[in-house]
Amino acid sequence: MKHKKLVIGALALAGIATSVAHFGFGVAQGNTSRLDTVKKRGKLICGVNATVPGFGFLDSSGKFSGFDVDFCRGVAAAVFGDASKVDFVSLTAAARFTAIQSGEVDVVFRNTTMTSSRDGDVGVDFGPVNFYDGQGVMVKANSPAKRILDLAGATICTNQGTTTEQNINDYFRQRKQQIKVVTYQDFNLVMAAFDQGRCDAVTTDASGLASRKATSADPDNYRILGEIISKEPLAPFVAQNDSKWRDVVAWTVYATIYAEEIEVNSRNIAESRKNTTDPALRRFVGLEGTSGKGFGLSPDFAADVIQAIGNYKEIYDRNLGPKTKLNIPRRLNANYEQGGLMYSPPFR
Amino acid sequence: MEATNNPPPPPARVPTWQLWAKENLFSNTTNSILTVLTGALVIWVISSLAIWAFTQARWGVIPANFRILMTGSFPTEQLWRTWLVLIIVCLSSGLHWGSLSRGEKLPVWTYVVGAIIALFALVTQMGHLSGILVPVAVIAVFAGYFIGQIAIPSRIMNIAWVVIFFGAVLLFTVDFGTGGVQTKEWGGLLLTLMLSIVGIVASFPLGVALAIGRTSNYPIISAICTVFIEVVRGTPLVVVFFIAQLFVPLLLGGANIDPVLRAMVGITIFSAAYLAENVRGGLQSVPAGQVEAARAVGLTGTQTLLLIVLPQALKAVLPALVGQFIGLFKDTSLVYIIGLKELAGISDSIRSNPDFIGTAQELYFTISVIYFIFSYAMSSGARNLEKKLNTNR
Repeated sequence: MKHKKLVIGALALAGIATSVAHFGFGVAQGNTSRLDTVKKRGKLICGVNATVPGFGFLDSSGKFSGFDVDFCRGVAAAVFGDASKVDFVSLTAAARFTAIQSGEVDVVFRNTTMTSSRDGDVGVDFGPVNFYDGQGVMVKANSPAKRILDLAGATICTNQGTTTEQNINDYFRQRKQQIKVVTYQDFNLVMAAFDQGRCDAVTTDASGLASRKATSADPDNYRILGEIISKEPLAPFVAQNDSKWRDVVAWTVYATIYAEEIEVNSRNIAESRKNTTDPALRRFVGLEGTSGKGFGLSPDFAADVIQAIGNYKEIYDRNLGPKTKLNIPRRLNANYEQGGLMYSPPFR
Repeated sequence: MEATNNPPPPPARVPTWQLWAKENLFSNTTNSILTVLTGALVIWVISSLAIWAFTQARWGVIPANFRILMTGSFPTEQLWRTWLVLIIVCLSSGLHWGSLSRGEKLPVWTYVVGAIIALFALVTQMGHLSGILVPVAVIAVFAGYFIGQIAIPSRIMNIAWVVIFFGAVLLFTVDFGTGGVQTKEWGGLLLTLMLSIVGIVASFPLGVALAIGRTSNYPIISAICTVFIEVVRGTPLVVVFFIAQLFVPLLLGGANIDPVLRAMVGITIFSAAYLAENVRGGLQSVPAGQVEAARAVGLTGTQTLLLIVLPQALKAVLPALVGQFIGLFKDTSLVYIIGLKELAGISDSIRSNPDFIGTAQELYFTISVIYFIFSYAMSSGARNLEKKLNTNR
């Protein structure tokens, strides 16, 4: 009798375990692509971060807004031809990968650095980089430091819980120099300490430094050093082993970059998609060729994306550009024709 | 000139503020030093707060984002739902208040507070409609009070609240053909209140049941309840939320369970376990003679429990329960870590708006005032309830 109960118990446990394994990680292993799920649902569910200036936040009318948020709308436009068919889920750093693995969200655009371990071990597939960030250093305008190495022996402040502390330590250790790193709970406190003269320099992602400088009471007080000491390519990601769905996300991002190259934007796209004679443009907007078909999208999906969210330059300028308070210089995020890294494979 | 002939009145008889201060603040050297030190500290804190509030703070962030602080992403064209509920709740509060205080006169301060709120709304015109609707809500409270004094027995109001609660939940979700509202669009104070109210309403019966179960004579029931209570009490609320967010979707294979519902379940389970221990204390405080007497007059076990033991037990632990509910109300702020946008979460999001970077202090100050108002209302409401229930004196 006792044995029987044990066996039943063990079987039940095994059953639970297999069903967990099956459901938990079976999302991408099935034959149906996430694209079909999204189409059937009639709405895209996009994971974002609602607390990064310029990239994702709630505007005063309660709508999600920002650079990453716009790309979510772009994917919705690619799938449905309607950028409003998207629900946003605000994800914490801890929850972002689980949310993809469990299928709670379809795609995540949430300032996530593409790394080998995340691609390999975590079980997600990354799309193309939509923002190249990197760790920089900011000093007071009157500081004698011209290069990061000039700060040897200085006190550098940063916030806790990120890899920035490790990066800056590594940078000086490699060069056999000493520095003192002081960490604070969040970057508001880092800036307060910096202003009170408790730090000689502060370090975090260059985009963060630029926005801190731009939104401070007196931006001329600060100077950002030119060097970047770590690679932080931020990219969207989807569940592993679903190349059909990854393609949709990837070519949505590419469409915005390509549109900037061929000078198509949200204002002239409506005209172009009707009657253009330029062969490259005709292929891009789906008048020629079959680019959209292979993805399971309509032939003019790229035109829908540009019409909804604009090209890469428009998205950048709207959220991070010189007309915003953040005013983050494009640098690596400029198009390759301007010496940046934004380069799209051709639409043909 | 006549007065000089009269002897002066005995000074000790007149309670002046100098005298009060001497007796209470400067009665001896140690007390005097302490008074001066704490006085200096209080002045320093208040003055630096005032300097910040009047010279440095950028208060513009609050009116600009007032709507999303209150209701989050609630669709603008559906806001009539929140207004309707607010006005009904105001009316019912008035009715209940009136019915509980028959024959008493309304204290003057209530008129003053009401007039200030109504005037403030009219003058500032926060949003084009709220300038009218806030005064309507204030009038509803007073109208309710006077009607309640004459016509409404307070027993009816208890039922009314249940109806209002379910009505409000329906009204905040259901589609009437003009587009519904999704729970993920709830935010700000609205979400904080919905999480707390659902948490309190649902955890109360669950907690009482667990307490009764734990003291039960059936070993299996008692064991299950004990294990549940101890496991939940041994887990931090943050971990409960992380489990709800990270494990529940994995276990259910991506079945999309509403995140707000997950948070509500988490809060309810957590609160019920603590509540059960409070109630158990109450159950044990009821003298055994009460049960024996009840059984002797022929009541069944269930009747004894419901009519004799529970009422006394709950009355005994009322302060502890209210303390716990206030704690629960404030603990809802932890759901920001699972990405929900209640008061704390929405503040984080607002200060990430490039237009409002660096306004963390203003936002946190504002939401702590909001938390304080509601917590204080709860504790003073409970004090009144205690006075009413206190039949011993």
